[in-house]
Amino acid sequence: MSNGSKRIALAASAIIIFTAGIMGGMRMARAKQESHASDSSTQGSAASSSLGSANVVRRADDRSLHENKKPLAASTAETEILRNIRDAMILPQESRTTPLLIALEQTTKLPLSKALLDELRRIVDEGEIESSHFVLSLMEQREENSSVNLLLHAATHQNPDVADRALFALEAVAGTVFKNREEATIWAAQWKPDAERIKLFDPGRVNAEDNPIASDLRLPGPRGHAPKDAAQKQEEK
Amino acid sequence: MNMKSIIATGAIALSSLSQANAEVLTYQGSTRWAATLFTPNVRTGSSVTSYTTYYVVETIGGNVVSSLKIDAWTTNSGRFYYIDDSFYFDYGYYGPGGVDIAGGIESDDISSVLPFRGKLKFGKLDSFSLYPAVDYYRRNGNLDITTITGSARVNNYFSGYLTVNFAADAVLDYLESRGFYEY
Repeated sequence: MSNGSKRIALAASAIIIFTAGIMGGMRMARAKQESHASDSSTQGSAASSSLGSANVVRRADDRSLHENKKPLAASTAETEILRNIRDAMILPQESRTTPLLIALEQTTKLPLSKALLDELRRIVDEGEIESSHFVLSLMEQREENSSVNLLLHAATHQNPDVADRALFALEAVAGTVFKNREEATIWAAQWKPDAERIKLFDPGRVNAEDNPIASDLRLPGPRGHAPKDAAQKQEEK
Repeated sequence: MNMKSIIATGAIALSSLSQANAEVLTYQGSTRWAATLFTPNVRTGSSVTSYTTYYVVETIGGNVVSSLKIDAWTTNSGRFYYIDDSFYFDYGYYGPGGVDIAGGIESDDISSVLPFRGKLKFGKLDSFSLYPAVDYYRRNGNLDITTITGSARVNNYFSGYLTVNFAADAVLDYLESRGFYEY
């Protein structure tokens, strides 16, 4: 083969590889879009109802928006916990509270996705005292716009036991006392999550390597002695 | 003025100075309890519940000198609050620059200290989160607490240069104004 033919063959193979790469990328993107769409559709028909609600404010600084981009493992956990919640919800009233609350406690490990929010809102709307108060407690522990929005929504509940508990939770987040829901709404419109509190309330941080307390507790012997001893040995060497 | 009266006057002045520096911070939050109730060879059951909790903490020079806890909850038969009369709250500083806070809570009839971690804001404990803790209830040998967890943030409305009793009374007045009764 002449040099010219070799060059033409090389250029042709480069074009083929490049085109195949583009097509593959497009296919992957489409597959991702399709799987996302099917996820949304399977996560309950109630999902669409909250989108239209005036209370739902989506902001770029909302943690739930960022954490929705977590890898597959997170969504698998969410699917399982949502299933546990739904399974508990169909139990007869007298036997469902404990399994439902146990499943709800598991949600502290999840980002506050739309599917999860819809499920929690359904429980609050139903108005059963123990489960709705438990959800409001979980929402209070989060430092997110979407959790505050759910609390504001609950503060309009027709059952005063639910509405008043929601107002308590809003007051806890705000660090003050509100005369009524209107005052809480005005506060919520200006409120921004505190980055330090987001970290503090994140249950994942308990076992994180950067937690000084957890790492100290893992050391043998009295707290603080082990690193000091190690440092002294280093100096001696 | 003899030496004794000088010392006495100094002591009184110091004491009133330290009283003036006493600050009460009230933390409002939620606690969630999961428990197993069992009677050997008869039955085992489980229970989960949640409370609104107020931690009233008095500090002098950064040291906790007095504290009190109030739990509030609602049932189908009414709204109640409970004043924890054997409550202790303390914390220390960790991490680079001492900005991390860890502490413990001793609560009525819970046998061990419940650990928490917190954050400073303007040099004061601003908020804290309880580590999920497992324990048993001293008053009832058939009750295992499988998890106690929760969090709290400072509530400025019930905080200031007060006494613990004054702040606690303010919390109780507020709860009673919303239909809560002592349990």
